[in-house]
Amino acid sequence: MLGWRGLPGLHSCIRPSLFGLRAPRRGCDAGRGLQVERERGESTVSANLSEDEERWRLALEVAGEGVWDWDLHSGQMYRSPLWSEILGYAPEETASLKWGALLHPDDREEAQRKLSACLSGESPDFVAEFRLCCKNGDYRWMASRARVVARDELGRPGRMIGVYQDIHEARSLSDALQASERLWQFALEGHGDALWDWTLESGEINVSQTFRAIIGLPADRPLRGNDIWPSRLHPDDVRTTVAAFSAHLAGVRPITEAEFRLRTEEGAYRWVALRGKIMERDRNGKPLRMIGTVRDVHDHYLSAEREMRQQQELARAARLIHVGEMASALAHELNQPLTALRNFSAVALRRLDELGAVGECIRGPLQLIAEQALRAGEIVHRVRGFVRRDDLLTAPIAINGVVTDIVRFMEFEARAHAVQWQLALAEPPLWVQGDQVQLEQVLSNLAKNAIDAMSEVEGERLLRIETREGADGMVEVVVSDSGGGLAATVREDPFAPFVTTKPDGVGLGLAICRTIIENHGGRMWVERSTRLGTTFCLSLPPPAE
Amino acid sequence: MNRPLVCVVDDDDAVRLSIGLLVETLGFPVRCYAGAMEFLDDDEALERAHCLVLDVRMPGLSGVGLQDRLGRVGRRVPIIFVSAYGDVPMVARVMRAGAFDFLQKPFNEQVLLDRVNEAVQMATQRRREGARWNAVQVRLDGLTTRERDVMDGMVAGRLNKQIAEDLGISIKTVEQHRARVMEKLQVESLAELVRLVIEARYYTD
Repeated sequence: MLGWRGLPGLHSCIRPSLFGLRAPRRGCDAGRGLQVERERGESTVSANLSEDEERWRLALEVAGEGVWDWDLHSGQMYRSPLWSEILGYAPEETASLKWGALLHPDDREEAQRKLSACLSGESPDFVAEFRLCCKNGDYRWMASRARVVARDELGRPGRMIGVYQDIHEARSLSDALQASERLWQFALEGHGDALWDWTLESGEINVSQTFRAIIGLPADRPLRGNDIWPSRLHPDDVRTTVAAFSAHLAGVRPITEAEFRLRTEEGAYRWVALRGKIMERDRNGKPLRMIGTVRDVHDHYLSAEREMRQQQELARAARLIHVGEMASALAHELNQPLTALRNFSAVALRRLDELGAVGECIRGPLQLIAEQALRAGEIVHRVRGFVRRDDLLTAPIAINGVVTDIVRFMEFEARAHAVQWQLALAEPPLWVQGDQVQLEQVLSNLAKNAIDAMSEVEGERLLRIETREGADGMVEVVVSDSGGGLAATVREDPFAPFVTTKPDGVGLGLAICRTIIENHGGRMWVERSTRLGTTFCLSLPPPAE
Repeated sequence: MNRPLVCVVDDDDAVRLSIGLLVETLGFPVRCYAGAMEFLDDDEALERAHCLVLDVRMPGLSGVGLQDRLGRVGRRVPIIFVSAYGDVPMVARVMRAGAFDFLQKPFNEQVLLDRVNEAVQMATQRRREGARWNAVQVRLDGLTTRERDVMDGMVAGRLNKQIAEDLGISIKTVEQHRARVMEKLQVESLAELVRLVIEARYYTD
């Protein structure tokens, strides 16, 4: 006790009851309806239940509050049975208990400080939470509210009445929650994610240390919401980011997800990835508070950009290789008409012989035709020498593997166009003799064409690739799409060079592909082309024994 | 049945027509097909073909595939392949399988004509020999078992006496059988007989 023992000679004054009712100098106690009468140095206890008192007693009992009544003059402390019950003591044991002794050491200082403040009049009420030692040795969290209800003329406290509430469960829960939150914060920040907490109405944003680290803000500098949003946002990213937020706030998206650039203290921009979710809403469902994470993805972005540039380089290199093979494709295309041309001139010359003298005037020109055809044929031979079959680096290749490589390589493109793959690969796996790089070129060309063909399709976009055994021991690869079929301009001969449906196309893709396949000793053809889609087939020889 | 026929199989319309016209100048009847299956469906052509001019790469059954099939059913028609591509392994393969020749497009048309001529001649010769062999077979089939036994002995160079001993018959009987064999097989001398039998056996092999 703090030495506020009752001072002799103190006479009573009007004591308002605990609940503001005028009671005739009585204090009420929930437990027994005690009447504390002030007598010189002594208190008498008598059982005297009035109707009011009964009501109040019951009310307190229902509320689960234990009551204490402290006479500062005499030092007597009354505690209701419920009070004792909460702590596990029998009522007769409580009289000897000293509150200070029951206090948990960690809570003692604050609780006693508050008590002093209340007793001295500094604070009107005593409101505190602290742990008290139960009979079994455990500590329980209690919340206490109390007030000095009687003072003398000098303002010295005479009597104090308070209630106790067992808040042990609630407090344990809240402690556990706080611990859990700290754990999560640690986990998130340990992972590199910064945390933010946004109160929509006030615009206030709380950010974690990691957030500051991302922008390069020193830890101690005060931070306001406006310092981050939207001032640090890169102008080019404002629209998409705001859209992402709006979508979530409007309820269209379950979370906010956005990637944008934030300006650091140094003035540079860094890419970050943000995720956030509305955590609190008001009665009408209006968002009040949003929390989320921010992660620095700048380096990742840089590497992604680099990869894209590399792919572009590869594509350009591929085109150059194509130019080299352009000649070969041309040459092949010219072969057939040149053969026919030579034959026809030969036929014409022979028939001329049958005509005799009458046809002599034609002989000369016909001969020249034949000679020029011969010459053209030789040019073709020479040009085709540029890309000889011997230059091919062929080896036994598992064709299923080539197909899966292509699927992987074109994953992004297919997904971007909402195209689904359907693979029917032969089991056991089939082998072909071929040049892996060139075969991949052909297949990716076909796959790209298929994706382009389906770009306008509303329904299912299926890209089907099948490997199977063909005639004569050849291995066939079948590529089908669910597009609209070959356009009229190319339907007649899809492999004809310089005919294309693409605005910036040269029209050599398929011609070159066929050249490559024929260089391999295989064939390429269109299996079917209907409104429902197009199917390309190519055959390749099995590995040389 | 034995009138020579040349068949051209090529999926390229212009090339097919031009080869057809070219071969016609040789004076042979020609039939053209856009695909191998089309040709196989023509029974008469299968019978009469004395030469095939085949493209290698065609939709459906390829030229090489057709060669395999004809080989499997025992149709020995001389095949001249014409192709835009001719790599060594492929050419080796078709020649080993019995192709008559392989010309790379665009070819010298005179060379084609010469080869077609030779092919047709070879086919004609083969058919003739085939017919002759058939005739011989018929005659051989006409021999009785005993006559056959005696013939075997004759061809082996056994004397009549030895043949009589081998077969357990009299020499007189042997001489009778001998005469019948010579008559039935239409040969004048032992040498002729031997040659005929050897040829027959060769063919059977």
